This record gives sequence, C-alpha cells and structure tokens, in this order.
Amino acid sequence: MEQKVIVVDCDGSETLFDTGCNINFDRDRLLITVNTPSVVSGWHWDRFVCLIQHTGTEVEKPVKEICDIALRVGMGEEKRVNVDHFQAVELQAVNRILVVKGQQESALVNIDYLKWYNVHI
Amino acid sequence: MDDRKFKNVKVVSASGEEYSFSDIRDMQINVEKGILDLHLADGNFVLFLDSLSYFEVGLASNNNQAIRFRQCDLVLSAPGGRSGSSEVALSEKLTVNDVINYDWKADQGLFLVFSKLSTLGVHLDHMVSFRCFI
Repeated sequence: MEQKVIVVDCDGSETLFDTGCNINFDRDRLLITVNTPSVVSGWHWDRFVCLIQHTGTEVEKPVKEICDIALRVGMGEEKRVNVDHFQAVELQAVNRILVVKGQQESALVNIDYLKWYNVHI
Repeated sequence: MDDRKFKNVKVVSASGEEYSFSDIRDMQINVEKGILDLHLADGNFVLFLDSLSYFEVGLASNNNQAIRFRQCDLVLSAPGGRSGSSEVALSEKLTVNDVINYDWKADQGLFLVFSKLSTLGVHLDHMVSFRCFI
C-alpha cells in the first residue's frame, strides 16, 4: 500500500491518489493499474508520463540533493516534477522507465516523455 | 458479441470520422484479419482495426448482469494523433454509466467496457487511461 500516488498523463494532467492504493505494472499487457477501495484506474504503458510514489516514511538523516525532472507533455510543452532527498537513479531500459529514488518518494518516468533530469543541492 | 442483438452502432475512425448505423444484423470483430465487420440490412461495413479509434454498440435489450461500477471515464488520444507518437494532442473523454465490467484485451488490442445499455470498444493505440468508480 502506498501513502500517496500522483500519475501524470500524456497531456500533463495529474491524477492524485491519497487514500492508500495498490499499484500494478503489467508490461506484457502494457497496462498500469492503480486501485483504491472505491476507484479502479488504468493507464496505457506508452501513454503515462510519470508516476510518483510517496512512501510516507520518516527520514532520520535527510540528504540535501534534489532531482529536477523535465517532462515533455501535450503538444511539446514542458512539465517539471522533482524528487526531494535524492538517492539514486536506475534506468530500466527494457521497461522504458527511469526510476528516480528519494528517501521519501520515488518517480517512475516513461523515458519516451523524459527530456532531462538534474541532480543538485 | 455472441447472440446479442444491437440497437445501433457508432464507429469513430482514427482520423475522427464518425459513422452511425441503426439496422444491424450482426457485428463481428476478426482480430486475425484485423477487421470490424458490420452486417447491415443492405450490405456490409468493414473497417480495418488499424483505422479504428473506438466503437460503441447500443444493446437492443438491457444487459441484466450485476453492475460493478456506477461510472467509467475514459481518456483517449485525440483523433488524428499519430499512433505510437509520444506527442499526444488534447484528449477526448468518454463516459459510460452502469458498467458491468471492463476488459483490457492486450491480445486483441482493444479495451472493452460492458455496460447495461451498451458495449464500448477502444483501440489500445488510442487509450490513454480509464477510471472506474465503484
């Protein structure tokens, strides 16, 4: 169960889930589902831009690095998201996803919509 | 589509043209051939699935299975948008009420929504997202 999840659509709109939800990534069927007790939602793998998961865990020693991420949405507009307390990036080329890990949140970015990311203090 | 009788069919092509039919004898989706085949009183209307955005079939008699979702909202990439492109035009939204079930049929390339009054089928290349409310 995730504390809070934000999904960014290919037109740049955001869908927020803050009631606790289950996320499932089904690469074979190109389907990503986010389920809450009252709503079942799904995204086409090639059409989701970014999914941000907040774990809600307490951080004892917060790191200062921040990762800014620039996304291409709509008809070429730019959308920025960021991951605080940045820890690591991991490219999952097979899944077309870049995972940006922070101490309290992670962003899963569809690399088809990624322009760049920038780690700074 | 089994033995159901259909009241009407609306077909929207990938480039945005809309076709409506009311006198339908049968409707078949042949995934192997890649066609949607409508048997009409005065002939056949055949659309290649590659050219399909979505179809909506009105059922002649209500589907009486239990309703699982009061509403499903679908977001589609706008007609005319290039398939497979990461540049997606403003989306088209569809709403279906009294939904019995949905099926993400990756093997057929279709997202199907079965409701009390209709069946909706969206080509997966045009699906962005869906939300079904219990």
